[in-house]
Amino acid sequence: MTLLTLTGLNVSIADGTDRIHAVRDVGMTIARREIVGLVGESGCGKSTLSRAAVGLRPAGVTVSGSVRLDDTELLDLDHRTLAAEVWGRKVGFIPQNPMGALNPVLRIGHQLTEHMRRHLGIGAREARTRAADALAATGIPAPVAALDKFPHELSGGMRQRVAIAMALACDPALLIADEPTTALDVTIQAQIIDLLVTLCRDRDMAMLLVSHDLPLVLQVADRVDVMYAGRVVERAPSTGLAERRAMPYTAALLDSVPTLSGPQPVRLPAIGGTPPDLRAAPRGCAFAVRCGHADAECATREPTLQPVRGDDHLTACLRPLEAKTPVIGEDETAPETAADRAVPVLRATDLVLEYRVPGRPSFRAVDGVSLELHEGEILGLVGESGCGKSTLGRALTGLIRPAAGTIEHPAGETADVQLIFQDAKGSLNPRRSILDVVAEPLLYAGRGTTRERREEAASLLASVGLDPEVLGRRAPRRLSGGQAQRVAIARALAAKPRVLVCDEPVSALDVSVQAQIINLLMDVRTATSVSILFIAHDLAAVRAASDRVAVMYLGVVCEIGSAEEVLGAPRHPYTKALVASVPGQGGRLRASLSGEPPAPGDPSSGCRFQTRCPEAVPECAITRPPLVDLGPTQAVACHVVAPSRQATGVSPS
Amino acid sequence: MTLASVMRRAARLLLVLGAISIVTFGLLAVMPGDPALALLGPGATDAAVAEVRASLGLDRPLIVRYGDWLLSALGGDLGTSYQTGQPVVTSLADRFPLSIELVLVSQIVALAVAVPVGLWSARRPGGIVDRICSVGGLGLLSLPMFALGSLLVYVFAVTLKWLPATGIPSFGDDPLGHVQGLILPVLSLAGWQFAMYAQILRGEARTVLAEDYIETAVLKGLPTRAILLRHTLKPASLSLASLVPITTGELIGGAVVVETLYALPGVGRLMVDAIAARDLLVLQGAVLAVAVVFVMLNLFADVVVRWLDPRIRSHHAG
Amino acid sequence: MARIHRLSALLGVLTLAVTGCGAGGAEPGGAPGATGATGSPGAAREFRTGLDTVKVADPVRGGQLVYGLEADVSAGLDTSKWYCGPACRTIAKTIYDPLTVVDSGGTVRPYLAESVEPNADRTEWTIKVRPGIRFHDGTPLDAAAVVTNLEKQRTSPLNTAALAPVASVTADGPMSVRVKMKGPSSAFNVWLSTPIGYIMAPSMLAAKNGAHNPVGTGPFRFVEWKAADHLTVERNAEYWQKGLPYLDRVVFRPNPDVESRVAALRAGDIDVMHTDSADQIAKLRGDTSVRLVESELFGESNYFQLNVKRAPMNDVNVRRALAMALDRDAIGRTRNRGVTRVANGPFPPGTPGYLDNTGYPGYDPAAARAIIEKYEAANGPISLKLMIPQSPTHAKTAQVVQQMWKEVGVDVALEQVEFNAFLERDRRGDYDMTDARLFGGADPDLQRRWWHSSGASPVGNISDPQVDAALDVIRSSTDPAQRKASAEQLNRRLGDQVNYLWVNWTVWAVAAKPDVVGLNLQIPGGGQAGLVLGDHWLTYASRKR
Repeated sequence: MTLLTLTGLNVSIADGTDRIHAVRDVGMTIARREIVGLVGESGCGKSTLSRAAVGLRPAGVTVSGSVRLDDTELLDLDHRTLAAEVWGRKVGFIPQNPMGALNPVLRIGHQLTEHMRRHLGIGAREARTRAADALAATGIPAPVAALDKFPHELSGGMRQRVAIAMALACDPALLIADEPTTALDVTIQAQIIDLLVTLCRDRDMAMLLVSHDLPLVLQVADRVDVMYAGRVVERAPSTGLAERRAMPYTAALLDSVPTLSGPQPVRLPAIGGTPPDLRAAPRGCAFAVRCGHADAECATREPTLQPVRGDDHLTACLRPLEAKTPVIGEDETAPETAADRAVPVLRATDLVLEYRVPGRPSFRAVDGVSLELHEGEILGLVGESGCGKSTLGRALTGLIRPAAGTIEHPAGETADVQLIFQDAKGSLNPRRSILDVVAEPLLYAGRGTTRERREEAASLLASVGLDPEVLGRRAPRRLSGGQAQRVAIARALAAKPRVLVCDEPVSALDVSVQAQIINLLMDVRTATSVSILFIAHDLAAVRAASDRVAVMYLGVVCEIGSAEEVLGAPRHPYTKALVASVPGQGGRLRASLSGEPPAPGDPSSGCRFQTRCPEAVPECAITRPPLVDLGPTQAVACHVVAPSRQATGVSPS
Repeated sequence: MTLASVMRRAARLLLVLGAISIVTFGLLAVMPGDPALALLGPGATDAAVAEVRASLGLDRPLIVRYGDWLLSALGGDLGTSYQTGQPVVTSLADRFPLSIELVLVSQIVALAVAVPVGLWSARRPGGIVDRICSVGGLGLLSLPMFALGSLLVYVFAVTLKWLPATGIPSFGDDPLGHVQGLILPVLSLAGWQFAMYAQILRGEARTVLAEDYIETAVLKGLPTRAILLRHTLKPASLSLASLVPITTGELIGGAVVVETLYALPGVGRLMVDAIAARDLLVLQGAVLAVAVVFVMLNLFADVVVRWLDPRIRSHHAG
Repeated sequence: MARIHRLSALLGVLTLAVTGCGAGGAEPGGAPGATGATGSPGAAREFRTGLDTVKVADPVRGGQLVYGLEADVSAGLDTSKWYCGPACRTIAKTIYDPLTVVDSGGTVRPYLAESVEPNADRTEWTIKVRPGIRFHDGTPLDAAAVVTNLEKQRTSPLNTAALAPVASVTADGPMSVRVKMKGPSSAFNVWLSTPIGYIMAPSMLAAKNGAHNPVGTGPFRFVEWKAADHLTVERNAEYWQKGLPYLDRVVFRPNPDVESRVAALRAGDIDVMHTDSADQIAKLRGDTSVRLVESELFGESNYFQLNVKRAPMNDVNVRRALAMALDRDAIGRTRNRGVTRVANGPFPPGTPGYLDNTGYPGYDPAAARAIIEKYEAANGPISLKLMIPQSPTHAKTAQVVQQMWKEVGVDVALEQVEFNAFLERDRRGDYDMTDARLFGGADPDLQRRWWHSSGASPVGNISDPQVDAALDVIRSSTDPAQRKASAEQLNRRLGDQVNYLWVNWTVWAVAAKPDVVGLNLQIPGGGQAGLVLGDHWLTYASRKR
């Protein structure tokens, strides 16, 4: 039975004097208890659609067409009526960013009960009881205590549970979840998705799951709509879509996502180009310019959604793919890299890093880490938020002085270490042109004349795939996320570093752009023999980029080795859990770790992971396991997997 | 707040007051001019000046005078005015209440108008309220306080004769007259404050309204009023609250202007007169009293900010 | 808003009516009734004052006046203690009576004194005290009280210089005071018309806080003073000039900002104010809702003061050139909106010593430039600083004259100085030039301290035997004609030596609501008093019916 029906939905957004046609003529249905995924790159219109689908029309946004929820036409209702009768009551909304989705200055209890009291007409006391129930249903420990807390007193995962409880509070028939797990650590992601699916099933709710992560959506949704340039370009049941995809764009989305299975690719298949400008309606198929399969007709005729493989599989494509046709990228043989010679350029030994807050015990973010970075190598560093990986990265650049331990540069010279941030745009001086931004390190190094520096900057920009003629004079704020990251890389390279520390360089980017940046980093490594420390929480991205991988948990390295070994055949229980949490492993997503990491800096003795470890033995509570070599490259710190009697000492490689 | 932190603050306050007293003393000492001249008028002879200085105790070294003053100040006696011969404490007690009333009422009026206007113009950027607010606000901000004051006097006192142009009877003598006398000075002071508050609140509220949690609140089906007053105002007033100590500084300057313009016997005029007459101890006392008020306001702003932002609260508590 | 105002106006009227009736009824012989109530009809009335007959147009007994003053009297009202400026004098004249007054013809008349007479060679003055007068505290006015006052004045640092010629003050009988002078002093009776001659109760002079609790014999008695807010006096029912004053009460309100004071007058907050701001006077002249009384008589001079001890101001030719560079008509237009007259000396018309032509050089920039060029050729370029008090009016004027001097080749830098510091540096002679205002008064002898080389506070550091000689004659001569001739001689000498660059004579104005009458400048005997420093009498003020 149909719950939500969208017909001929058009959404346009005022942008100065122009209008962006963000959603164009979309029809869609969601049945009761159905989970529908809505997938696409950022800017494809999926978020806009999800809001128009509940009748939300902020200032400057024009919605036309029809949105029927049950038998009510939502577009006929004004804001006040929608607020009183639909939102929060019939439709629950789960926001993307749990950090920002809760009001930081209001108590959880208040935020959970205010709409219950309005919609259900109940008193404060009853609302509070119900709120506690809702929190309990989302798996929050001590829900009553949580009611009196402020959002910042909860972890990201807990906040997302609160947001879910808020959406559930009035028993809506439909949940709209906009990227509900994007900002979360991978183990928490799995828990939250699990929770959402379970709640939908248990409470007979339907859900529109909006995400950029097609593998994730494929695992939980009944049906998937793939959006591109404001339109649905492919609609199919999730099952088997990975093989049966017909639209080249869907295929590209699937292929450009790094995975943990299969052979480690030399280059990630990436979609070139960027989505079209939606100020004017595109001529022909909007994807044609980026599509390897497009022909002359694609450029002139815009396809409509048509059945392609059976009635329930539709695509808007004039040249649908056969099942299992590779779309982009050919496998290459890996070129010989300097990494194969294993010449160390940076060596950290027993590194301890502390944060001091006046009047409080200092907090140990990194607690005895030893590792080496080889010349021309990409070393992946993974772990959940708060594990100390960013702190370690900063220490290696010299930004933080170690409390104990040493950082050496065995290659002789004090190797120049450059840092690249997640928020590339924020790291670029907004008042200077891009060319000047890139030339900055040259200026500090006192190299060349202004003209020479500009020329070198231009060639650096060209080397990261940006056209200096087009972009050189622009201000950084006009760059896209991917472009900004390229500029940041070019600027880092200007200093001719031996080591690049990249702190979550791709986590804010769309999958297709992610792939481009990862490819760029690998190219840069090959071209310059620079060593790269690639810090990320996304295991698949790390696997795609890295030669070796180190896994951190609460300030210590618990496993290190080649990317193939560590992520392909993990030995440490924590690594195993991490790997298992990653979607796209085939089969159903498993939330393999319960709970959240204890507060960092907790000085309890023994193995740091013991509180969450499914395999813990008594020994784990007593002594801290040292890193024990398991093979030529792999080492694990675990009493169960590698009993410390066999320890050959703390050796990073 | 714990006892320890109260003690810490009190100690810091004393330190600040001590430093201020030294600076005021020193400044007036190096400033050309003489209290005797203010008393003797033009044509004072050297002998007369010397005699008067001696009678005021000004012939003693600066450090001795400061020491004397400090000793009696610690005992609660801030000395006597060279001009009036009144105890400084009495002058302050006479003059402070009106200034505090002026400043407080202006703040309340400014906030009471700025909050709805700021919120409303943030809600509808480019709307009529927003446009009036931004144009009018800029006008008010760029208009010197005395100009605004003169304009108000011209319109409401001279032309319409609705309100008095100057003076303010005490509340006890004439409650209605007191309120009437307060209106124009308060508007003159509040005009600028209002404009600044409204602009800041509008900017902050716009930022807050773009936050995800506002969309969350909207999609929870909350009414607009609740979204503006509960979800927007509280986080948006953080910068306003932290601004209070800064605006207080402005208000002291404003009080001088307004008290002069409206001939009000407040502490601002007391200070101006004390400077003109080199009435050192009066100035000293007034500056210290203002400093105390200033510190108290800071404390108050601190408390408000903590109440507004639980993140700061728990950080300090930890 | 309008309703509130009407309501409070009603309350105000009720208050006035109540207080007015009470006081009015208590006074025998006075016209009964309150403001606008039952005042006596008719035109001008004659009044026996005990002195002389004063004509007042249609006065009304009762009511109050609110008087806006430019300053508070924070230092109190003891004229023997601290300087008594215009605001202080205006209040003081309601509480105290001066021993003498000077009329517009320059004649000195006894006032609180029954007579003030010198001996033949002016070395001794006898003051006969008017009998039957009591201070507000009930103590009698007698010779002892006057002696106490004059002794107090003489020993005060404020007046030691002015009263230096006095050798002794003794009671010569219960109601007679003999003042022995160190030498001939023919203008001592003029001094008694100034605050020196205001008679305060001995009890007040003895009291610790007397300055703030003034007691006199005047038409009003002091009620209360609230700093920076108001000072109230109320009718002295036992005033020795029977039937006076008309008003029940005067409230003085300090309001330092003259524009604000004018606004207050127009808005009806105050009934009377005085000002020397030519700007405001020009504005008020066109205001039909305001009664304006102006006077230039005995007024002060505005001038640029030159420090003649410094080069190049020590050169009379340079001084003359600086004077010839100034187009004083233009200054008067810019600064004073044409309200004032160009001055040629320290004595305005009507004052002894005034001359149509003092020999002071006129506007002649070409000649000025020639002198400056000659001087600079010999001595190098002239560069001066003009010290001015911080005020927009002064700054505006200074910029105008700066330009005028620049045109004749003199570079003048402006130096704005806070007023107290201005006084201090003026006293120390630490300046090249200042923008100043001084002098004025009924008799040239009053100026002796500024010009005589033996004077304690020479203005502009002048030291000139010819000036000294003229001042000595003015002090000692018994012949009015000779005194006048000396004053004129003095005036010419100052014009010739260009010690001061005269600009204009100050015009003082009293502005009042139209229903306030008797703010006259007339004094007992029918003469007109000048507004010396703006002071005037409220003794005869009343509200018109």
